[in-house]
Amino acid sequence: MRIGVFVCWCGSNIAKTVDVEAVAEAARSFPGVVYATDYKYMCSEPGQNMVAEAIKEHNLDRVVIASCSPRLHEPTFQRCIGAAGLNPYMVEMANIREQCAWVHERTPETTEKAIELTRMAVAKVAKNVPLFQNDIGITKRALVIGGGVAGIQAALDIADAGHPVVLVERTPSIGGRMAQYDKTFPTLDCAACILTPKMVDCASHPLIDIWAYSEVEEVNGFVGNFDVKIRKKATCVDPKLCTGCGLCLEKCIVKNVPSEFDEGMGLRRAIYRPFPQAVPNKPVIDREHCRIFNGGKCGVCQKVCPTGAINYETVDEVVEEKFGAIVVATGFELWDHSAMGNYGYGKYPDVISAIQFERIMNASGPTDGHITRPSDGKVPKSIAFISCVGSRDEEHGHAYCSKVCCMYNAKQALLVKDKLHDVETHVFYMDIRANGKGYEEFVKRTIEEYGANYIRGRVSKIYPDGDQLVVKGADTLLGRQVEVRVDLVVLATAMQPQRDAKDLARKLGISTDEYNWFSEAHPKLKPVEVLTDGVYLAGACQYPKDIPDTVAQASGAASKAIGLFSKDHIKSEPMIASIYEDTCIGCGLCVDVCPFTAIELVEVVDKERSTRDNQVMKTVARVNEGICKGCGTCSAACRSLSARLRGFEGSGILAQIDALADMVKAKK
Amino acid sequence: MAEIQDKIREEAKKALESGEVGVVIGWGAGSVPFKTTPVFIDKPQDADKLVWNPACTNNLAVYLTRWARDGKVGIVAKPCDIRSIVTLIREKQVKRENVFIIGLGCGGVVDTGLMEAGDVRMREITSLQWDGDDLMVTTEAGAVKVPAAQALREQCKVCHDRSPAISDVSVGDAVAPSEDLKIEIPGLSEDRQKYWQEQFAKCIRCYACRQVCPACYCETCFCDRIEPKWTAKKATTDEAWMFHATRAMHLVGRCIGCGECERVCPVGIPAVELARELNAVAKERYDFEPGDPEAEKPLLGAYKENDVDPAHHSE
Ligand SMILES: Cc1cc2nc3c(=O)[nH]c(=O)nc-3n(C[C@H](O)[C@H](O)[C@H](O)COP(=O)(O)OP(=O)(O)OC[C@H]3O[C@@H](n4cnc5c(N)ncnc54)[C@H](O)[C@@H]3O)c2cc1C
Ligand code: SF4
Ligand code: SF4
Ligand code: SF4
Ligand code: SF4
Repeated sequence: MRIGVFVCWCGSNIAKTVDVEAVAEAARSFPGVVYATDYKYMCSEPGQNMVAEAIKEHNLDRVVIASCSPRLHEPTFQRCIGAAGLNPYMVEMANIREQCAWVHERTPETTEKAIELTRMAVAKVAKNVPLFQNDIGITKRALVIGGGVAGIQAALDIADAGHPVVLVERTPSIGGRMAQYDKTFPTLDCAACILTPKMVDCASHPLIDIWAYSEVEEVNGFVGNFDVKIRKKATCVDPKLCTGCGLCLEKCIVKNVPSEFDEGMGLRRAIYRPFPQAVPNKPVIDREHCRIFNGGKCGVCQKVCPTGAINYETVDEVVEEKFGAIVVATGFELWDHSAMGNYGYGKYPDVISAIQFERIMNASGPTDGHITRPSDGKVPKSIAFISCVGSRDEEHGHAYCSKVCCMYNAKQALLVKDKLHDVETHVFYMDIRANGKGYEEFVKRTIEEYGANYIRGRVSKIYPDGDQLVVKGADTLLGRQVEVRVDLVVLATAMQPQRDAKDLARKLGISTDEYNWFSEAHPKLKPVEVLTDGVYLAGACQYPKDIPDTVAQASGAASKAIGLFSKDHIKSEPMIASIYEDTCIGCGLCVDVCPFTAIELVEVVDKERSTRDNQVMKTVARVNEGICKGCGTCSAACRSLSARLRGFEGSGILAQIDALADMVKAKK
Repeated sequence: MAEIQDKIREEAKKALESGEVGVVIGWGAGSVPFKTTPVFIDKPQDADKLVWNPACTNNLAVYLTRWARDGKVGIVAKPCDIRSIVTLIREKQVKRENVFIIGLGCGGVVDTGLMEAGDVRMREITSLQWDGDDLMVTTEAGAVKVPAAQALREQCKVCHDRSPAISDVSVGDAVAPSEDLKIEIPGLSEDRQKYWQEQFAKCIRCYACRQVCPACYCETCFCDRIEPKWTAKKATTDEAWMFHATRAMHLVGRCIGCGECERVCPVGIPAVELARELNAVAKERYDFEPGDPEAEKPLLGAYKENDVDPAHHSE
């Protein structure tokens, strides 16, 4: 054994408090050490060269770097000794900076501690064995979950780079929330004009498969190799035969189903597509409302369908597909404000949500873009917009800001003035958050050019008076109570995660925050990654976002997937867990504690008990090397010492403890 | 008790006759009336060798990992033994369908050591029987009543669950929990370290405690490993610390407190107290009770969002 020890000054970071020369000197007497030195910056190019040269000159087979945290420079020195011809895992770091120099004064004890840490690293490196990376192949095909603008953008970007994509959307059409809007802030582009072409591009792209009316059931596997079960819900309409002519939609006798797409402001049939520009353009039968599925007699749609595309016998189909990367783009839902009684939503027909107002303003919406109020169909002469309804409101479970409400309040107050010139608009706000390109200017325009009356304060109560509504609140700028009488009230209800977000997170093995938004791997530096490799986040499923941010993140997620697909193999990290099957007793504790669900129990031949004629099986744990992150939780939990972490074997750890114990004893 | 004993024999006979099980594990008469011994009955006609009395101390669950591995076995089990069985099932060492549990209501088993401290001459005992809260000890000279507090084994004094949590047939009535007699965990006293130092100094590392423990079912115990060698073979106090402390950590949330380790230890080390101490913490912080059939996962494998973070737990 020929160990080399390299003590780093880290400029003055270490050298100021630790006598680095003394550490190197002491190291020369450690068992197995044949060379020790110190240098100003071990990680610098000359520093690394010094290590490489010493390896050659002194024929070193193991190296200890006494410097900073392995988190910082272990990969650096692994590469360094790898390039010098050693196995990269024959290096150990003694952290004499964070764990010593930075937390102590310059005293002899500090240097003594640095010596002890170095001695322990020497003891451990003596037990190191070479480790090797494995190549794991990858399936260059992406799954995008959720067909809102985020999913659409990600699918297009990945497909344009030449990789097949399956876009799974649970409603009958892609488009998401954006498809519901009339115009979008801050540029007031017509939402349909900019979104529909992208939806059509998805449909016609040779590399994109849109699986609408489908949901992810189960996800197994790991980066590059996910096995995903997807349920394609029975639509009763054969997509190959259906031409999308729409005859069935006209003839269906069930006419009174509240339309989800119109947010209950309009009606649809039992066979329907959410909106005329839906992609795919084929209708689906909603079994909850179709007569045939409710013990009734009908069959009208089947009769009128010219191509015979309708078949009431179809059943859900569950398919299993392989993917290399997954983009999660499931968006958000809106808080049901009826929980907050004092605003009267659900009680007074003319108190509506902002998303319902979007539908009313939309030229292809339930009122054909005529702005009328739900109760009596009259054109409102005055409208109050109320922001932060449930947002920034801990009491109602959303301490966060929904981020887009200030902007769409301004948008709606502006657009409505375009349509009804003499309408009076009041906007109740807590403060105006308009931090985006062109946003502040946009709000200013709504106030100054479109005469919106902005009132700062929370609304305490809304109640009817005659055929009008009275909005009562405090004007905190003027410090007095205000009361406005309006014909229509529009509530900016809080954005919140999809109610099944937690479920999907569990299937994907990713985490969620306290509200159930999906958690990114790092709030600043890894905003589209999650802690599970190969899964990326896009859009409002992570946190409230507007369309520009959503699309930017979607392209970011797509580029991560494309980056992954640019390689044919990924390297498996060798410092991961492995199970000694001979001693594993199959208790499954490791399976329970692994935070990445990397372990499963499998049946293997019990070598101990099997004979030539009688094969006996036993249950043991097995680590999926693609998923394991090497966190070591399993090896801490395993009683029989069968779950082991390569690079952190018990023998190495024990050698460290023994080395320390020897030094402590020697001191006494 | 004689009635219950008859029923046990009857159920065992039935299970063997029908071929449902190949063997019934139970207690048989020991060499002296105040002792019993584990028996493995594999013929219906031998079922009459099974006995049930306050000396049926052994936790027979320890035999299941081996005996129920490849086929179904019957087992006569006290409520505490059943808690061991539940743990074994949860930890995938025994399949539920591989055990036929003849579950008993239980009034507690006796600590003959404690009785000896009283006036009873062990050698003269002819039978032991519960009479309400007292133990009727019949000797050649006549019957003596020993109060429960004096006769019961430690774990029986605090046992609240005196009817079988799971079973295939339940024999004998459920017995109401005794009033809490409270036991002391000396390890919790101030001289904790000194106490255990003295205890471990006695340890001869025979591993009887581990062998008798139903939760110590590892095929290779950590202390038998040569590489990495977490504890050396020599019987020094330091090595005994390593063994017992590690074993205690391995038992938290899993030891059901049967006290078998303490009973079999030739030098009288109360190893169970360590596990009891840890289990008390598990109960307090995580409301976890070993052997509770309702718990889905083992203590260390379960995580709830509102779990106490031990790092931030202040006493
Ligand atoms: C009233 C209102 C007005 C707005 N106006 C503007 C505006 O003018 N300008 C602007 O920039 N932003 C606006 N926004 C914000 C905008 O809606 C979002 O930025 C955008 O919709 C986010 O897109 P997304 O694709 O992430 O999510 P979504 O649009 O919510 O799309 C998510 C999609 O995923 C699908 N899905 C969900 N769960 C699953 C699942 N488990 N499996 C399969 N599919 C699933 C959903 O059905 C949906 O189609 C507004 C928001 C509101 C509430
Ligand atoms: S590796 Fe250890 S914890 Fe996992 S099943 Fe085997 S014995 Fe149990
Ligand atoms: S090291 Fe961590 S990630 Fe890997 S199998 Fe063990 S517990 Fe799971
Ligand atoms: S505690 Fe007792 S039974 Fe256990 S190893 Fe030590 S001497 Fe043996
Ligand atoms: S002491 Fe621990 S390792 Fe040894 S048999 Fe018991 S549980 Fe297994």
